[in-house]
Amino acid sequence: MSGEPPRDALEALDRFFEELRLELRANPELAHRLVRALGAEVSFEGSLAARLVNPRELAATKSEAAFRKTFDAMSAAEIRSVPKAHNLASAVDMKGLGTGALVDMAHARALAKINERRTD
Amino acid sequence: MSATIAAVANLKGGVGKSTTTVMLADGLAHFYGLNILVIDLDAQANSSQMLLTEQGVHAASEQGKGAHHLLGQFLAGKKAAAAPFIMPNAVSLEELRAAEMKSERLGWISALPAHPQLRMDELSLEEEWYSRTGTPASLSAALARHFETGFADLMPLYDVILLDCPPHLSPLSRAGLALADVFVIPTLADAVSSWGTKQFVAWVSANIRADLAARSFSVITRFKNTAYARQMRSELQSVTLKDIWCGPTIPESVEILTAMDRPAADSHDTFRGKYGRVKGDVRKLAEEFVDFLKARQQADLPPRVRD
Repeated sequence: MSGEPPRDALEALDRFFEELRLELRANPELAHRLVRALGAEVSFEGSLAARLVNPRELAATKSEAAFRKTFDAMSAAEIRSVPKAHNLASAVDMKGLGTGALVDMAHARALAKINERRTD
Repeated sequence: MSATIAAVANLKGGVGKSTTTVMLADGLAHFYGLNILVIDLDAQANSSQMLLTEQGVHAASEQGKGAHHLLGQFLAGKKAAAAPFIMPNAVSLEELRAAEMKSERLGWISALPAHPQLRMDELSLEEEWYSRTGTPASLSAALARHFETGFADLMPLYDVILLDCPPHLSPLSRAGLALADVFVIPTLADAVSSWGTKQFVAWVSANIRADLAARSFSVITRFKNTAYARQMRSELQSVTLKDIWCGPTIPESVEILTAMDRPAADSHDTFRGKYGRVKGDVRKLAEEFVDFLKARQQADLPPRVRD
């Protein structure tokens, strides 16, 4: 960032957005939250998806196929991390399960939790 | 063996009665290998949901289980028997399940769950009772006798029966309080909860147990470590609850909230996995409650069986 004062409003805004862009690149969670606040939808892949996906929300708003597709690009370790992080399964529950069975369990339990929350 | 009946109660709502009930059940079953029955007398069914999940509570109801059936027996003039309405397995801890599968049961939790229907049935009962010139006191006394009969067969089967009482002095709650040998009083460290706790202690001492103080074990829950909360805790312990056994202070914790949201009715976790960084707090709660029972009730309880 230049220490010189900006020459005009456009340069000031350029500097501001550049700082924002750099921060969002380094902080995808914040980027995800801001994009959601704008009402837009962006898909993330792999480890980013594992960190950002909310399986309960996904099960409530997307088809089962879309739910499963989100997990396609994740490694086995990343898939295991999602149900644990969202309190859909304990380590004991996941013991010995392959990735397909883990996604099945995550989907079934996410749907069950969403059904618990529904008021209709 | 004859169970000690502990009523987890406070006039004030939202002080952690159900969470304390479940933490005590887990801690006593896990660390001391005790056989625990949780009886949920609160129609909000929170401790039932924490133990069985919401789906499990509905499944229990469909299987004809639940505390409201005890009321049904009362309304029908039948002799009380609670055993048929109990869910025998309300265990979420892997250590207890693993021991059971090896036929080495060491600690177990069963539940007589609540259901929202419980309050509807209680209201019907109140309408009928009061229409016959009955009084709240006579109704709660009759219910207490009914429950005592209904629980008689259970007493040799359990070490501790935890009654999760609703936060107001309904007939059900009063009946539960009348049956209790000891009282667990959770409270928050704030002025409003302190006032509710004071009212509860005064009312129960005057109307149900004159020696309530000697029979009570208090727990400060959801404690936020601020100067205000420390001041309120000090006042609670030295003034409001000065004659009452002060148990541990349980911190405000996301991990406790998570632990109470069981992923599914068939989900199990290790004690360490379930309680994470608050496992020491749950262990301390169980240890101090056992110390309290031994000192105040001369209870014959075993030493710790797990670390």
